[in-house]
Amino acid sequence: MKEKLVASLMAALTALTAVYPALAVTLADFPGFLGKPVEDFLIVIGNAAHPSDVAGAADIAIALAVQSTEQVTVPGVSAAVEGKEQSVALGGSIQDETYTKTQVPLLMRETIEYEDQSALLIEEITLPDAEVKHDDELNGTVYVDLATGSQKLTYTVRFTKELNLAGSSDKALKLKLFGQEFSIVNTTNTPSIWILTGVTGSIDGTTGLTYGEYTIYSDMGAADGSWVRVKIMKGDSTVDTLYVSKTSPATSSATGLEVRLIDAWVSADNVVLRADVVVGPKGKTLKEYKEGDAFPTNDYWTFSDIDASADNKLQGITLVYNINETNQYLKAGEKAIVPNNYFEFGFKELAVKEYVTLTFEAGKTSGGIYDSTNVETKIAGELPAIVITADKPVFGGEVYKKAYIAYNGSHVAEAYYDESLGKIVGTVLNASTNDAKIDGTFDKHNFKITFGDESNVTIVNTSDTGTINLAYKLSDDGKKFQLGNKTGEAEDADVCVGSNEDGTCDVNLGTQEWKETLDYGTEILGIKEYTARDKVVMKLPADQQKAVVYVGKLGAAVEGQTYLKYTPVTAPVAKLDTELSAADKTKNLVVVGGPCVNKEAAAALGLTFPACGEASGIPENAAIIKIVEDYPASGKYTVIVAGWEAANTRTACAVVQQYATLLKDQNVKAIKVTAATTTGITPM
Amino acid sequence: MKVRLTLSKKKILLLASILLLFLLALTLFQRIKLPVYSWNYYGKNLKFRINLRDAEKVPIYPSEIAVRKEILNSFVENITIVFKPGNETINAHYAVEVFEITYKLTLAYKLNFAYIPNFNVVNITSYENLKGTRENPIIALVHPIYSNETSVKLENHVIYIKGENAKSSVEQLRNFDLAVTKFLMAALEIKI
Repeated sequence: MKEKLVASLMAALTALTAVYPALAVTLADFPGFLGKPVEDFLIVIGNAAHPSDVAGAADIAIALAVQSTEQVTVPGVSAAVEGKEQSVALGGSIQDETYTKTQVPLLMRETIEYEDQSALLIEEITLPDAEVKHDDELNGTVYVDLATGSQKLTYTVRFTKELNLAGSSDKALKLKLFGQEFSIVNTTNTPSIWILTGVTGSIDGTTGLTYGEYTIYSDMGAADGSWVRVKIMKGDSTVDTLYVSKTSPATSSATGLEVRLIDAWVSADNVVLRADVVVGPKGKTLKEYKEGDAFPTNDYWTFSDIDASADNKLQGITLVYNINETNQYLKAGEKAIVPNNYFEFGFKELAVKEYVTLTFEAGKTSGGIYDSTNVETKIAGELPAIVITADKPVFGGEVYKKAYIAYNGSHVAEAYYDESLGKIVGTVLNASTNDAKIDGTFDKHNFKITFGDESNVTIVNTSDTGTINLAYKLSDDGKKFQLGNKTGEAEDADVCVGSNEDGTCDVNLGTQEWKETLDYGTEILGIKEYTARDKVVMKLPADQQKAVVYVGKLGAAVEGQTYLKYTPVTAPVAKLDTELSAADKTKNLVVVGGPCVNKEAAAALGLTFPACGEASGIPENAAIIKIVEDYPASGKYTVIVAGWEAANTRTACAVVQQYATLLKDQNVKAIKVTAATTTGITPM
Repeated sequence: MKVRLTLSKKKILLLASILLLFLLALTLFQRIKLPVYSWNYYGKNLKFRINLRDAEKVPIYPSEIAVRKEILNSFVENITIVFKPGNETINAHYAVEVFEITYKLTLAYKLNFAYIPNFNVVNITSYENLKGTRENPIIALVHPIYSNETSVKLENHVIYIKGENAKSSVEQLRNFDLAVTKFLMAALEIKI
């Protein structure tokens, strides 16, 4: 047997976890351990090593260094909205309110003058009463479904009194829709409006207007401006000559262009001083738009209401945002498509940014349970438990980050891991008369986790009707908890949400592959992935989650920033086992190498150095990662990583390196490693 | 009311002697330099295997700045650590030093450049003809049994870290520690 330094060093990493008595009681406690103050610890390398162990030392060093810092995010500042916001509860609908310049400053509210008429022009936006959903359509992502509701997103330009249009091109009403100017020639009571389209501009004998490959000029006309002569040029060549009157457009048979005269200023000797014209394809310089027709520059918007009581009367135009499969959903950060980006209507963000992550898994009350009222008194030994780990202190009045619901078949206990004491403290109840209840608080979110009737964990939001049921129960042998009827397998009933009138659970989700989002905003993450490991992970918002939708303009957001900071773990120093002083033996140790090559490993395991082969206690063709309590001193820990042979040690190192996927679920003090896979790890 | 204090010559001499002794002790105290085994690096208390004051004396070529620029810059993609193996004890010495170098350089890269280059550890049979590049510098760990000096030397993008040979394994490791720590002091810009 040759224990590898590598393994030892890797063990060092694991040892880190175990090194600190108050925090690292099992291999699974490693992440929490890093975030806490710890004492100095040493990496102890046996005074005999294989060359391959040198490389292993580097691997472990990198792993430890990486773990010694964490990325801290400084939240950005949300973009300010120049307009109006609505916060909509998940499952609720946007309020279909109408906003004007009062709420959305970019909209117009101004007097319009036309042919001796005057009116107040008002722009309005009406929001859709669309639903905010979080269903499986987008795998649990919160979104606004614009296809729902009866009111669509609309944009209106209206006048406080009806305008009488002249009905001719030269007296068209200049009106901006979505910020783009249109010349409305006349209206009909169809209802419809006639709008000049094409390229508009002023020309004379030397100033031309280009349309495609052609440029048009006007050199002569009637002195009263009733008609002008237009030359269509292609380069230096005259392609066609047209005579265009104000009353009717002229069409060029040579080019297919249509030219419409809006107005003209001509000198007494018939020289055109200025002619305002519209050029476009034949029949396209004046177009009729009826309700249902698409807006000229954006097919998503159509005319929905043209307020024209009679020919050449106009009091308002309304356009509606049409929905198809390409624009139906608005996820956070997305907005509707508006011509010229004239305004924005979008799903800005989720209102609540802070979440606490809870992880439910089967485990044990390692180290036993101490009386919460007398922490020196042990009231229960190691019991099967549902271990609930939070990434923030949310239990017991926002004091504890880890809670336990333990059960031995007759009694149930509710307990917490007290980091300051390094103990699990709690209360043992009589299961026949009491249900275990763990209260949780995260900012404004109050919840309770209960366990009763010998199975099933229920998470209830105290301000919401939504419940989550986790089908945890004791295994047949009563030695451990399992999720559902089969351990290590995802089953439908493993996770269930909602409740029926008879108290039964509503929807089974245990094999759902995507996250489930509840109305309150609670998210149950990648369910099947976790239930297959008898585990459930959920994120609870700090308050009722809402979708913030807005209309107007969104300013620039201040980007969030990140920086690295050290976790308060002291930097380890590597020492040879032959170098350890008496002072060193008052510290926690990570021992690299087994009892055959490392004196400290032998001493920690209570063996006489060197203890090789079977005498080492290391399983043949395997490796171990083991936490030894009360060595090298009372209250201290030593972590041993050692393999039967070099290859086994390497494997153990790989396990440590892949802590997040292979080790962190190990709620035990020792494991046997035969392969760097989940199946290759066996609790000892 | 005035108070007159009278001192005999004996008392004056005694007071002068006490004052002189005090000044002498103060001078000596200032000259005594306590050993330094740790260094605050961007808020992290980095511990070292050896007194940094002792390591400071190790010669480094061509300069500390040159070594630092070679090993700690954002162009580095791979750092290869090479060593010539020996017996199990010698290999254990290498393991200890490799841990020290890799751990501290990884931290330095993560904090200075927000990335970690690849570290490769390779055992070789000879230190001759080593050649690194700006992107792939080499750290050559030369165990005292293969060296007659304690030094740090940069040449052809290779940083040779050598400990002087000694009679005992303990002394060999100490000399190796001195060179490795000097290298780290240069890389991490630690000035005592």
